[in-house]
Amino acid sequence: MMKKLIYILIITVSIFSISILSIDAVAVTSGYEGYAIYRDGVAFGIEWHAGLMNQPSSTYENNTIIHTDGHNTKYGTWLDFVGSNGFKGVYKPKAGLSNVQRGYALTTGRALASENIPYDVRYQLNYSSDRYGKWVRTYEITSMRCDGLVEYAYEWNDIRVYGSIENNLWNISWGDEEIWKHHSYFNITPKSQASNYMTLILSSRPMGSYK
Amino acid sequence: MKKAVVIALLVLLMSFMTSGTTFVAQQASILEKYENTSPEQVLMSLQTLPKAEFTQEVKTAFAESSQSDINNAIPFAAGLNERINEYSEDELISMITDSSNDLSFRVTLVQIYGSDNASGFTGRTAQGNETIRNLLLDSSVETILKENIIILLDFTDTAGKQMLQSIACEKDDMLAFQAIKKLNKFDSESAIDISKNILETYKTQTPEKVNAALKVMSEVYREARIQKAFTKRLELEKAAFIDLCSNIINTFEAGDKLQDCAILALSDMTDAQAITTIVENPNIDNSFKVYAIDQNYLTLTAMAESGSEEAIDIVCKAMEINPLKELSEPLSACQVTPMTRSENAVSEKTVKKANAAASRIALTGTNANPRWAQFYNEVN
Repeated sequence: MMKKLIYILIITVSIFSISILSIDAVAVTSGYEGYAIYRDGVAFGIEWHAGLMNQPSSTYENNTIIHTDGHNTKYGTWLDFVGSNGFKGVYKPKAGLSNVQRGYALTTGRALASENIPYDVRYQLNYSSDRYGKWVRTYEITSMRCDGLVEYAYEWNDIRVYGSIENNLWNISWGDEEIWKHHSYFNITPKSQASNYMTLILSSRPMGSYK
Repeated sequence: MKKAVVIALLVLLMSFMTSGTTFVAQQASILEKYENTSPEQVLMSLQTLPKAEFTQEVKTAFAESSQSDINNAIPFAAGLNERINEYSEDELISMITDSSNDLSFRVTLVQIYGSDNASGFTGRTAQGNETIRNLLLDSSVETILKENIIILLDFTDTAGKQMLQSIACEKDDMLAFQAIKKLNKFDSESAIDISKNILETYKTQTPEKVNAALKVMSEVYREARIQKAFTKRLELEKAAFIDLCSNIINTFEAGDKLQDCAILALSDMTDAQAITTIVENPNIDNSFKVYAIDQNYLTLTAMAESGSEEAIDIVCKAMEINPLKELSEPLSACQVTPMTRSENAVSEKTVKKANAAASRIALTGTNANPRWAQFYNEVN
């Protein structure tokens, strides 16, 4: 009986220790940073605009979001992103997103903003054919669309959003003509990106103070 | 008689107003015309239009989209892309330089003209390149159009280099950023000179110029590591650069873009001192730290294998923040080697830390992003 109790105790302590250690090593994000956000108001309201949360919530005034506004990749306020349109929600890739991966995607988004990359209506991502057969880093991108910013921020970090797995066409950060075409025109749009390849985690405007 | 003239004038005026309204309505109705049409159908329909009508519809759609949302123009931009080689270079240049055309339309034309991939215009000439490039000299041309010209056109001749060097020193912050970045691709010597001058007086410089200079110098030190080209002088310069980045990080408010750029520049160096600075700086938030540790997993591997107690200590701290499986083996190795390598012997305390770090990695470690290996080893 005693032996059994000790055995149970050891098992319990081990499970507890493992569960403690399994928690993310440090707090990487505190609110909604690193998640994708969308609003409507494009193409008579049938299409959306995409971005990433840079701050924990919309109540943080400065550099709240990362997006490309029709000119360059940049930080912006909540109003810059939503304007007078309807907010469509906070999303994460269907592939899942750990706390550390949110840190990766968020900082990749910041790296894109630091490059001041011009907007492109045609392609999620554009770059020189010199990059075919290599990974495309943020500073090698010559232009990108708003949904391309979201796609690249996750897929550079190996978190799939859109793209055929069978034909190995999903990772937008790999320099390849077929992948580049696959992520162009209306094969993918901000709305289809959110609706088909993301999971909604909050439909209302993200609020609150987290720090 | 007078009455008849007045009536005639009224009729004329009304007819002009009516036809004018119709004209405006026609001009402004392209998006409405395709309102209930799928983008695929819009593209198919555009493909069948005669060139002149096609051009007019695309121009108008861009102009209308700029008033609402530029993403409305996606199928029209796609159509333009598909039919770009129906235009001569002169026709394209004429549409790009005509300031009465919508700005996004002109930007898209420059993007297609300048692309070297399958979407590009195939009839580019050096003369056409120069004509478009000369728009940079026109103060009335919009910054975003100029940015695209800098990014996509050829500037490798002497006049082109001089043009970029001049823009890099001018007031327009965003153009200077793009000019320095472009120069760095084919005339890094001149980009480095400009960057050093900017960083010497960074407190009085505009933020995007400082941002560009940070990127250029970060790359200089990364490449020096790859090519094993560090001299004592370059080592000193590197240390001063890391101090400068730390000053920016510590004096700017958290979340300021330039602070973020300084952190990214440090991380991009893939350097032991630089990653140490990131790991130890309390003003850098953890979302940056996990990214920098991931980006520098090979830097940290080299540190763990160096046998330096200080370096191993930093690797252990980094693994507390973001435990990576790739570091497990080098950390395990440093547990067993100290007794046989007296010159690099690590203390019992450090061994314990390495043990703890290895246990943490075994339980919670994830794989590092393998894409960083190319960045770690590739010279631009």
